[in-house]
Amino acid sequence: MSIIKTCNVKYSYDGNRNVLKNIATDFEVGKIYAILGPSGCGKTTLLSLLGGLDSPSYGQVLFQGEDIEKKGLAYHRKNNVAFIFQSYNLIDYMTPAENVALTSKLPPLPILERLGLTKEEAKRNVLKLSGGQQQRVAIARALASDASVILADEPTGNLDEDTAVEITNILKECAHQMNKCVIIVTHSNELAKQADVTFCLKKGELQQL
Amino acid sequence: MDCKKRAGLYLLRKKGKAISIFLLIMIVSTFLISCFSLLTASEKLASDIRGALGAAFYLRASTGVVSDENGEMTVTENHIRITDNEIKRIQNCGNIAYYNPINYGYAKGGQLTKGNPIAFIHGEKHAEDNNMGAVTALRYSALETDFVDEVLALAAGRHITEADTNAVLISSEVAAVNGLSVGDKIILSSSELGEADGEYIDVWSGERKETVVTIVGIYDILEADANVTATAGRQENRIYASIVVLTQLAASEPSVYTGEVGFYVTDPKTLDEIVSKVQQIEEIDWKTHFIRTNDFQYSKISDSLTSLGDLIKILLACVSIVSAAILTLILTLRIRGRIPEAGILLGAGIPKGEIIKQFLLEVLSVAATAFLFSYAASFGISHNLGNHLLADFQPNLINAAALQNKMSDAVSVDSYLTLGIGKTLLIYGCQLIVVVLSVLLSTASILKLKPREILTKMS
Repeated sequence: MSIIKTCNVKYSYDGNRNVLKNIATDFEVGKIYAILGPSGCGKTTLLSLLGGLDSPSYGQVLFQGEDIEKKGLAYHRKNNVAFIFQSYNLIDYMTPAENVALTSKLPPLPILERLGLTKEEAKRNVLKLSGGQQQRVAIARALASDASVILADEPTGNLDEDTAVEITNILKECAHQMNKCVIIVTHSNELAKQADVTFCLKKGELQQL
Repeated sequence: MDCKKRAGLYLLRKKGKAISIFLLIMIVSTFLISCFSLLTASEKLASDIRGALGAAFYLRASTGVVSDENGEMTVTENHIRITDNEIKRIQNCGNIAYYNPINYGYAKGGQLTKGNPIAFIHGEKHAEDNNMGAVTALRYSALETDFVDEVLALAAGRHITEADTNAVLISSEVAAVNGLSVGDKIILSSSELGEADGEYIDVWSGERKETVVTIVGIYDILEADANVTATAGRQENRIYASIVVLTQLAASEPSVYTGEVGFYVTDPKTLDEIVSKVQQIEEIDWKTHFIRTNDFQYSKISDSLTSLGDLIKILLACVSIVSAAILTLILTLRIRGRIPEAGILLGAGIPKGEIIKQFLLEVLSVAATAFLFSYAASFGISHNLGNHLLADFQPNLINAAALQNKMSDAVSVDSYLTLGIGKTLLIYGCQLIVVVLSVLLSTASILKLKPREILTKMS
């Protein structure tokens, strides 16, 4: 079932050269998507448009068939999508539990425990956790927001191989068991291999591999 | 998580940053309140000193020059003659707090209980016939020139005021020789000093009158007059008396004054204006009268007070500008350092308004605490500084209390240094405006960016 869709989306930084050209793709819940492509090809830009961090120069992004700009991008970011970044983007003066509670009214501890953090770790200074643990907190925050779409930008980019596998499995679990639509932008072929659908963004066009 | 909780967590976990902002705001507030206290105190003190010291103008008789048929010039002394009606006209010319007419005369004295004559301090060619003192009858002895100029000073008792009827001040020398003290009653009798055959004599020609008076004060001579004069001309033998005493001794007409009349205005700034109005009164013969003005000690200290006020104003302007600049700079840098946080919060769908509210709440709660501490700190600082800077301005005041007793007229500087709640709140309000504007401007420069631009900057 399509949850988020791009309709002829074009994007240009300078108004002349389109980084994205007529991107028209459906993304469904229960699936994990990987978007591959060389640096600077517009992967993160596409993710930003899907997440309402920016508006397309042309075309629309539809969430459940409705243009996300209709209710506002902030509404879309708050209710429909959740981000996971390569640099985790956690708030440094909050504990893991507080970071998770930032956008959710659900109790944070069960989610964090499910992702492998202990109660003590959940109350520790977030900067004192390892990279893998911080990324788990970021994923927990995305899950706690109850958004249907999880947008992950290089989620394993800063992690070692073993931790990257663990995080990939968690993301797969999010898609397959929690029925989320997980869209991952990555350079990693290993991570892309785990995806249900893989796209390659080249010269502004999205091609399914 | 709402903005209040986020702000609370920030202040709790980023104690160092919160404390540095707290200290900055506290120091700035303390400086501002202290300076404003000093400025207000100096202005209030200047105003009160003006009001208390007042200024005066004296209506005096002029001297004239007359030339006769042979062309010889003779200097003639005119006599002042002012009545109560003319005084009322003058009083209507402006804010005149007191007037002090003076009549001069002479009197011999006697002790009421023992019946002995008062022994005056002997002057040149002293004899029983010229054993008399010069009487200065007035409404307020404290306003008499010799007391104002501190040639004489009250040593015991109090000054004569217009409420007294038969009160006198005598010198400590006469009091000592005659065993008199404050509260004693003496008899004064009419007399007039004259000269015949090289001797000083009593030339009183009319019916000799007597009146009983009470010694209400005793004065000391601070600057002695070295001139050799008759007994009645000696400083020690001067008797300051209520204005009616010379009338009772038939030495002056009721409600008519032949000595100078002093008029005391409440604000020296208005002196010139009042004098020019008085000079337009046609009933007064300006050929034989003139006005002399005197703004007492105010002119001596007004320059110092003005300089101090100007200095504080400059200091205040510098402190305000520098502190506003530092506060703005530091707050701007602090907020800019929180670009990543703003990006994360925007990415999580938290509206821009909520983020600004959080930043404002943080700074305002720190500012409110700093204000409380600064109020206490500035109280101590301004009082210490004030006592150093303003303590020198303790003039001899001519106010109701001083007219009674010039020994208790010192100004309490402390009472001037308390800044009213309205002004304090105004200062805090201005600081809050600076704080809020700094936060809004620095936040706006971040939040005008798209969330993606912020997140791109972060990465």
